[in-house]
Amino acid sequence: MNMQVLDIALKDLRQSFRSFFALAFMFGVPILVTGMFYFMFGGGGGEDEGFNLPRTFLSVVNLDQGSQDLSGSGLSPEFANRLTQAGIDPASAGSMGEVLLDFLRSDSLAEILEVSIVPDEASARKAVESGEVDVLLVIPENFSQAVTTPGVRASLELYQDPALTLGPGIVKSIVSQFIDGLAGTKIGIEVVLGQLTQAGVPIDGSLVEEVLLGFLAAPDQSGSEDSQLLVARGPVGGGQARGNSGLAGILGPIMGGMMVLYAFFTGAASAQTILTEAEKGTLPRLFTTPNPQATILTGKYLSVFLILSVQVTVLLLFARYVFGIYWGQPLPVLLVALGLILLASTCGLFLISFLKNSRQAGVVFGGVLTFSGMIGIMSVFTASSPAASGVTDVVSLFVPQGWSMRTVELAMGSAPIQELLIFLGGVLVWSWVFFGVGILRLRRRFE
Amino acid sequence: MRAIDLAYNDLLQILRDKQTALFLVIMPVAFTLLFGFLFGGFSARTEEDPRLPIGYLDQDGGAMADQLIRFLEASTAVRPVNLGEGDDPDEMVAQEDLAGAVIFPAGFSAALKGEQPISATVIVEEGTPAGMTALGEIRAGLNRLQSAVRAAQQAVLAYENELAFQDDSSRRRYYDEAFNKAVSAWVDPPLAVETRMARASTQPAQELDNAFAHSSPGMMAQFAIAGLIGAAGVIVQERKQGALSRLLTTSISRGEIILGHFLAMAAMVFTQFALLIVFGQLFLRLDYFSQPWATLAITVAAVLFAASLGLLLGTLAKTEDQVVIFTLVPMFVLSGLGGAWVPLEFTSRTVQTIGHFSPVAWIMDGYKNILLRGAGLTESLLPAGILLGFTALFVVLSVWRFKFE
Amino acid sequence: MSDESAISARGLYKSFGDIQAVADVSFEVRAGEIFSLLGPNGAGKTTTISILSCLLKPDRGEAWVMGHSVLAESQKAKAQMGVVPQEIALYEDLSARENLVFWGKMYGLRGAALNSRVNEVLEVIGLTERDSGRVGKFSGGMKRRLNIGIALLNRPRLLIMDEPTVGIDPQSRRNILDSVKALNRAGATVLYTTHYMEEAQELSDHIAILDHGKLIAYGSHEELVRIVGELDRMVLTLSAEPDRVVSAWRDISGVRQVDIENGAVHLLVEDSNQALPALIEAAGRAGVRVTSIQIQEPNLEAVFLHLTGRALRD
Repeated sequence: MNMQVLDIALKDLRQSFRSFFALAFMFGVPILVTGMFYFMFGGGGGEDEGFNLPRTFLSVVNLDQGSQDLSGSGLSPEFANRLTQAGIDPASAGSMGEVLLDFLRSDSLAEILEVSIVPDEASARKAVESGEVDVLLVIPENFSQAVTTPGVRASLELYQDPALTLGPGIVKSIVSQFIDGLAGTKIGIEVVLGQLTQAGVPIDGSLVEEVLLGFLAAPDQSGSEDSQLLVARGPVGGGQARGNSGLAGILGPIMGGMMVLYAFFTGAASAQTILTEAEKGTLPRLFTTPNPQATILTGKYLSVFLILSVQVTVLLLFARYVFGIYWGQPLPVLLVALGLILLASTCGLFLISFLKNSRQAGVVFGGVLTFSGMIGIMSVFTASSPAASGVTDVVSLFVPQGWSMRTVELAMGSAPIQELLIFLGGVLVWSWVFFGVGILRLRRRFE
Repeated sequence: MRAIDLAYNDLLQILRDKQTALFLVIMPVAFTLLFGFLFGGFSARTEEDPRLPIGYLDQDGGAMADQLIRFLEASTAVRPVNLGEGDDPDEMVAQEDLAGAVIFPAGFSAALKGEQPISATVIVEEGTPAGMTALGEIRAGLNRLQSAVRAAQQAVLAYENELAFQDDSSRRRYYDEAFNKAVSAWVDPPLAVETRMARASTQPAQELDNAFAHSSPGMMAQFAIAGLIGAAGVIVQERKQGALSRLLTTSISRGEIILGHFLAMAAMVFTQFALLIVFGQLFLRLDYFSQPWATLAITVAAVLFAASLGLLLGTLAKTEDQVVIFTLVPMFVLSGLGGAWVPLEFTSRTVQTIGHFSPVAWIMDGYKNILLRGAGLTESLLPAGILLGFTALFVVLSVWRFKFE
Repeated sequence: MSDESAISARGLYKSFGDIQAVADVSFEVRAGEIFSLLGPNGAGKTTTISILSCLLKPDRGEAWVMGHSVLAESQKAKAQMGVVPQEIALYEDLSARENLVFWGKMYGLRGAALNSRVNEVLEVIGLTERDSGRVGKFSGGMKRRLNIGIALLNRPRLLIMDEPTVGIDPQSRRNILDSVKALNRAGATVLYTTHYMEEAQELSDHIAILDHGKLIAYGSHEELVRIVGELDRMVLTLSAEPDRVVSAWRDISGVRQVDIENGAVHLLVEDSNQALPALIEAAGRAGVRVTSIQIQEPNLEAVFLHLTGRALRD
């Protein structure tokens, strides 16, 4: 290679790293944005640390009047004994509201729920309306009765702040699980007794106790998270061995998206120096030196490539060792990085070749690159929404950033190399087209 | 009067910059639509089922699997999708085409009735909200199924305690009848949990999951700051090109100069907010006008805050490049911390508190109070007041640091 | 082209759209001389320079620099020349030394030879003490000096300078003119473009006058001045519109040319002492008073006026 090509590239590199503006865009902003999410979502650990759900403020109004059927005084001593053997305190068995309260205040839920008992329903509702509390649970007065008495129904009310989704959703899930357990037992008992009645068997108190004890003794999975009926696992193959979980699992796509987005900005900004040098006269001056036009334009392109190489390398390493983000196996990561550098640099060249002067660059950055960049990395925003993911999978591939982002995701997800190569092929095609058109136009302009 | 003339002059310069139209209107509209659409903002209006899709592969063919599917069909959160021969549930979950998938192995139904049930395999990305929801719904369905099985088993046991079955087939019939009764009872269980929203707004309940209620105020706040690049740039150019020095040779006072720049920015941002609010009201079914005074209060306060921030940016920046950096960095930080992208409810209380040091959080609170909580003028006074406090702070800083030389 | 030619231009044409910037320009610059292209703004000087420095291709015609065709052997031609562009073409966020090192590399200098040459040039342009300062912080004069210094790095046999004194203070201009002469004495051929007649007059061995893309006169200062002969140039301003008296003045014996420019009347006369009384008398008869009189020796301004009917500075 002609030494002058390298001289031009290194000169541009030096100028870039002396520009606070360039440094801020290349490194500052992507790291800042990812760092912000790192901090917001509990940033203190690496790959192993889970993403901690925030605690939900739950207040409870217990209007439950209890049930004579299950109150301590109404139980036969033998039955009370057998309740105790089954792990149920006969004294509290009379009030299912209290049982529910004990459950909500148990240690196992202490990390996700902050429970307060409120005697007055009106003030409790006001607390939700004013945002002091996220959710109010109202246990109705006939709750225990509904559990124990056939034909009686009860509905617990969750009164929630409409602006919230996560906390109320968690409370609903927990309470529903508990209620389902009770409902399952009641339905079961009613079915058993109903069947017996149909078969002509007379129903008395001791039979009811027997049936109830039968349910209590049977392995009851209702309302349990440890169901024998299912085995949950993550998907194998396409998404298996995803190296990021927990906090890193959230940050990984974000950092990847920021890296792609800002690489394209850097590519265009670096290529823009062709225009600014033409305006300032240093480019025409270069053309008066004994170097072919091809040498000079190659040097300019090489500078864009080198600047991007530094940027992508720094961001990859920073994310890996500071945020604990796993990018994937070395070879795929290298290929993805090279692909991104190639595509962002040629895209910059392509865009700049259409501009008449550097003033128009503002529209390129502000409009074209921002909008296309957001479309290209929109998968970062749809991680939790499969319905939306289907759309983004297609739409994002309309822009070059989408192809780069896809390769980043595939590498992170340890996808098979064949799948990665398909998208890298797409990256190469885009790059080839951009380079061809961009160089052709620039050569014609400076002929 | 001279301040108004100066403001008018600033606005002319701002509006002649093509970037301004982009940042002021086009991009906030585009991103509001993008974010809102991606998170189901139109779900209430389309025919499409917005529930999370859960695929199922029935290798069993028995009644139990069928019944679970019926339970899932009745869910408000998920909808079952039958997977065909060529479908790979792992791939589909990994690619996020499905929120989850359940595989019923052969013998599942038969084993469920026995002592040693066979597990169904549930495939989810447990780290994602969609995965968690899918798993929760499948677990709930399976639990209800098992509860019905248990009821049938207990029914048989109770019968055998009192009487005796003639033969196996009558036993099976008794079991099936008990199972079917239990399953039917689950259609309308005796104990239920109902959710009510604490609000007084006119917006119908089904619109409350309108994702635009978050993305609209979020993008308004973010792009109000982004749009300050042009306005702050005018101040910088005025100083650099010597126009400011020239102004000072006229009878306009320094205070009027600052006021003029402030008014220009306020007018620009107010127009932006007005356009986006009308857009939200007409096309996104966001009822900003349900509480017009409250909306006006929040809007005016947000506009004044943004204008004061723009004034400060134009004061501190020495070059056009600095204007861009000094604008974009606060835009990212204030928007991110303030919950413009991801609602603060997903973060810890500490972060939520810290986030409220960002004025954007108060803009979000102000508008979401109106849209989702039906808040009126009284409830809007707090966020509006906080924003005015930020305004005062930034104006004082600007006046203190404004370089007239 | 003769062996002693530094530049030979033959029938150069260049247009930009409908504008014919250069039309049939031919001239020769001898090795070792200072040659000026003189003309008003828009005359085609920069376009001609751009063709000779291989920045533009002519639509028609050919040119040779130091024996090398600017079309077929542009790299060789460029290796022989140093170009000082009109605008200051420097990298403002690099230091003076860094600028010189970079441009030296562009001219193929490396290592110790490069460093040594950079030091020499810094000495010549008087920036040795400021070599590490960022160019962006330099004064206008310092930037101009560095702008020239870059063109000297490769010890060019031909130095092309495009209006190097535009917009600078008189002292800096003086320094530049002295530097040009010094470089020429050291052996460099200089092609110098300007719209200042005095500079062309002071510096040049030969001058080519351009106007509207055409070369309208070419020769040494004395040869050009002889075009207007021994005629005196007079500039008179009147108390009324000159049209009333111009036709009468044209009829006066000894008056060779009368032109009106910006309200003043420019005349070429054989003898200003003889012509003046007649001019005043004719003006009086027409009821017009002469309010000021300037009499100038024949110069390039007069030549240009004679050839084009317009003043050089317009």
